[in-house]
Amino acid sequence: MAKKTPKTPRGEDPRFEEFLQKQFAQLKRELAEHAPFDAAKRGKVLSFEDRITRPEKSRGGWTIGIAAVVLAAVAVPMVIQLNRQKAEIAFKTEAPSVAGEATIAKDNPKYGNKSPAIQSRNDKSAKLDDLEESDGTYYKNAPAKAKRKTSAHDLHQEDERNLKATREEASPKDAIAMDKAGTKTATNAVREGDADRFAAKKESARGYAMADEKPAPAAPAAPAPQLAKSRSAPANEISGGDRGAVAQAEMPAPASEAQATSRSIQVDDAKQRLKQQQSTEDERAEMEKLWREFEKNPQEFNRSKTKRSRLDALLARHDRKSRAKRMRAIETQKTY
Amino acid sequence: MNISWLGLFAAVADFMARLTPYRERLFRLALAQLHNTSDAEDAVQEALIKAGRNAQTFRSESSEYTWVVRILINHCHDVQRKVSRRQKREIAGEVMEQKGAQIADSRASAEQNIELSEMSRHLMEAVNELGQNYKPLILMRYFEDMSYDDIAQALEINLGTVKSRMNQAKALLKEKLVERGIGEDVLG
Repeated sequence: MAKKTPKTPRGEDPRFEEFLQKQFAQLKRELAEHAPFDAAKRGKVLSFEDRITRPEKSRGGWTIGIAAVVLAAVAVPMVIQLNRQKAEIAFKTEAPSVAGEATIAKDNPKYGNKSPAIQSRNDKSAKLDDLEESDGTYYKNAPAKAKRKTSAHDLHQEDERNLKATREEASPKDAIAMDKAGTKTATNAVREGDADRFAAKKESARGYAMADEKPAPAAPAAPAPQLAKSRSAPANEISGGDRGAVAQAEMPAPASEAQATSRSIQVDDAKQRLKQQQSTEDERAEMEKLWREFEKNPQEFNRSKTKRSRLDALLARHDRKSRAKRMRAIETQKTY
Repeated sequence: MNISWLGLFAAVADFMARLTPYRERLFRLALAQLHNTSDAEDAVQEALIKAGRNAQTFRSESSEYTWVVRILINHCHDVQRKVSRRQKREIAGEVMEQKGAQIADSRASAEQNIELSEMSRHLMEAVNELGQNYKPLILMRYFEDMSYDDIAQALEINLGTVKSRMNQAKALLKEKLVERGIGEDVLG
């Protein structure tokens, strides 16, 4: 006979079972009312799960991304700057002289040994220049500045050109004579300097007289200081006759200078420097002389205002502050 | 080596992600036993951490949820035991010097205590007094509505053992409730 199995375990009280289910259901409801589930969500459990479930990759990705951005922001401009500096250094070292450039141009007529950055820059500028020349619309330069003022050197060159033109018209003998006279007057001018104008004027007067006495082309001792006069006169106005002779007598000085200039610009500069040195030495000698006079008897020296003013000017020009102080001290002693 | 650690980590993460939907239920269960929200949160957290650490030892004979429920109930029992021990020591005056700090602590936790109806409070007090062998059975059966099979799998005991312990637990609980003067009309 089959044994009957009870539906509920032995000794189970259905009423108590029902009571328990009812009370636990009520307990759940009360807990649902009181329990702050949101707090639990916001609490440590959530953070723990976030920590567990979220892979480290995301955090690492962020940090790596930020680091990469910072690195790029710092490193890229630095590299660009370094490249620029390198290119500039290369450019400076590889372009020392005109002869060097010539050889470079021979090796590579377009670029030489310049770095690619400079080459590209040059190309760009060349293109822009082409654009500008061909009335392109890319850009236009600012209006050019006013033409440089005509300096003494320009006048020299102009005179030199005029002289060449007259030489071509004159005979070879005349030209040789003009050259000789020119060298002589040039040396005279260098020796005497600009400071001694009075003497130069006298010589120029003599030169005029000589030019009047002798035929024009053979005037050997034409004075140099009249150079300014000849510069001021336009070359085209110079013509034959006495006036032409005077003009030719005046010409040689610029002619010699022109020869020097035609050889090299540096020779002209050296001459200028020599002139300056000479004049400076003269001025210093004059200053020493005047100073000695002043030290001997200051009161007597101060009587002549020209001497005094000249000494002041020379002291100021040659920056002899100590002497100027000394002079002031002497004067104050005298006054007190 | 690294790969195995990564695999373990991924498994734990996956396990925890699967348990996320049960968080509220777990919290409610802990709150029913501890009557304190912060303690319940801590208990749920600790239970989940324990489950995560031992995720590799989970044998998949029962559902993951029942396994975590068991962990949580045991943890709550430990917490209650610690609390009761501390209260006993306080009463005995063994830790008088630390009283100030503990009073402050108890005040802070008292603010987070929940208020239940008298019946529910007495019921949970009686359940908590059942002991380690019976309390999980009652909670799993009536609070979590688990079947005997699930309880058997979760507690890793036989079904028969579950049934017999359940009867014993009910009888004990009935006595406890009667002692408290509850349900006399119902229980007779």
